[in-house]
Amino acid sequence: MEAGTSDSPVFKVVLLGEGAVGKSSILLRYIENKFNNKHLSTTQASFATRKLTVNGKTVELNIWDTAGQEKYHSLGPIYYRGSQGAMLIYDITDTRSFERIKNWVRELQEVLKGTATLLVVGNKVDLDATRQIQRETAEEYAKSVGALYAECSAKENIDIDALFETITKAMMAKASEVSTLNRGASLRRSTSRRTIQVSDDTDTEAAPKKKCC
Amino acid sequence: MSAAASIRKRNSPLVSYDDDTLAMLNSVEFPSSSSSSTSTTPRRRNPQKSRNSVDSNATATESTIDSHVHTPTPVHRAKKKIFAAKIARLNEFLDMEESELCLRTADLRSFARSEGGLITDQIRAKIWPALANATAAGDMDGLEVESITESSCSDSDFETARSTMSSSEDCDTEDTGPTIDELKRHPEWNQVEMDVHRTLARFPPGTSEDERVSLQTDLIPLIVRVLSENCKFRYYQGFHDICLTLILVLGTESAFRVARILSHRTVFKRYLTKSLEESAMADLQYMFVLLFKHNKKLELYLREAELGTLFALSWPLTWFSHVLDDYQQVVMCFDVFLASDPLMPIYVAAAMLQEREVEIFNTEQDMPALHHLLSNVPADINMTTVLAVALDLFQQYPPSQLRHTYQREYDAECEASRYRHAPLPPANTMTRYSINKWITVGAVSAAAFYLIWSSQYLEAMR
Repeated sequence: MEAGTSDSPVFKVVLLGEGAVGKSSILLRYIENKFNNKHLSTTQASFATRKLTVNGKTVELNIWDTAGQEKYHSLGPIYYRGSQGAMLIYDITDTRSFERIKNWVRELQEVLKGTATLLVVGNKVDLDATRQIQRETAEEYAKSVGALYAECSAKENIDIDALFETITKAMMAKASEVSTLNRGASLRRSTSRRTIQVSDDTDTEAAPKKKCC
Repeated sequence: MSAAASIRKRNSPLVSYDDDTLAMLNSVEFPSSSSSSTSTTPRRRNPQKSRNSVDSNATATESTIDSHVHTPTPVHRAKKKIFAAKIARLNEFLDMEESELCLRTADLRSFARSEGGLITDQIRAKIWPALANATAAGDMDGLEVESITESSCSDSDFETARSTMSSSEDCDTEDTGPTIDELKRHPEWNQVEMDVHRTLARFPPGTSEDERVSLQTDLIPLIVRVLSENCKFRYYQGFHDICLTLILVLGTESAFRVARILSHRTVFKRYLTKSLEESAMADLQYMFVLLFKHNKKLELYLREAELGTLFALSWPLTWFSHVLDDYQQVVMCFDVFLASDPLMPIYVAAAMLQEREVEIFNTEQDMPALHHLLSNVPADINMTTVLAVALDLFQQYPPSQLRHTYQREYDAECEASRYRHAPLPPANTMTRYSINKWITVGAVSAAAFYLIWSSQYLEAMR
């Protein structure tokens, strides 16, 4: 769980969404392959890392799980600052949670200005019988804001790994695209030294990634 | 009420703890009292010294615990005797009238803050309401009072009537509060319901399914009713943890009265009415000011890692009930907080970092790594020690000083350190602004120079 010290590139991913949509459950399933019925609501961000290999390249994900409830919304910037990816998670049986991610999308677009890859995630597909948001509706919305779309179930372990692969591939693609534009420019605005390290590491990588500011 | 009462019975050491358990309780608590109940202990007093002897302190503490668990010493037996005497004295309070308890506030507070706190839930059920009643807004100093009075206006008449209640009154629970249907229409009902349903892990071991469901069913309207009393209250995740602890110890009716007092008169009023940045996050800054006074090396290590305060956000918001696994540890914290200054959770937060100093130094000086380490509190944390250290810090660095003198010293230090290590401006700032400026300045001066030179040249030519 400790942040690794290897040279693999590091991407920061933040999980955002309304309270009780399953952010922590998705993370727990992904990191430990567990589902906890006794899970408590999240009142402070938790952090986990995991390495994965995509297209033959190993990368490390630094994943931040946040508190989703409204009162914590204003702390958002502290979490998503400097992240390369954001998962906007909603509960397919809860219309309000879907509306809520639209606020997040607007805010991220305003603040991160397209530097981060957005993935809209419909969780709880195991409850398809009580679905309120149709897949097409959500997909259309995601497309309209330039975000990716996926559905999953943390409880039944449906497509959880795929979520992280999808967002990682997109982040890698974006990183190499940005780095081609910015090659040679020295970027030092990241908030964590770990991420600064990343920029240095990736300078020598075949497909380097950079964060544009 | 009945479910809570039966849980209370089961958790009450008076009922279920035998002599050996008590002895063990005693021995485990021993080292902390020796290090902190006397306020002159140099180890806790002197940051310089504690810095130099981190490892030896930790080993010493561990070995002390071990030796006492295995071989009871005369000191240990004496401790046990004191402990038994304390229980006996606390039991006296059980027979007192509420009005009588009111006159004993100072005693109650010092018992609650003493090692091991109020010990049994039976005693807590009697004393917590008295401690809460004794919390007048006037007890809070400085910023607290301002923010409390400022936001207590413009509430419903109901609230105003409540806040002027005298401290010893018997809040009429049978008054016509909102009906359950009215409460269900409250905008926060859904979120509260979802959060309460996710509290399974917080119930003490041995709680039956029926008891738990019954308490959860009572808890939702209890919280929403508290929220509905002030139109400025905005529920935050974690307030339900506070109310859950209250309901587990006090039962539904008494828990409601105490929750109402806490939300109207104490720090929770700020948490419920203000943004978390303005309230809890701002308070948590004092955690670093305390460390700066008490353990400079630790504070610097965390500052250089740019740790921030997010990792500790739930600590003041839930009075540590969210992060501690053990029910007894949680209620012990509540004993202290109900009997202390509203900033006490911040002192406990600083003490928690102090207690985990060795682990911190063994962790990479990296924000995510440290955040991960500290946002989870190990199940075997010695909260007795942590609370004792916190009370000690409180004596040594009282809030009045903390908010002003120490905060100023700390700000000055941060400023000076920024100046000492002033890095070059970030590269992108250079490119964006400075270089442009330099080019402009360069061009202007070149032009000026040329003009002067040419005019002089022309002059010479003439």
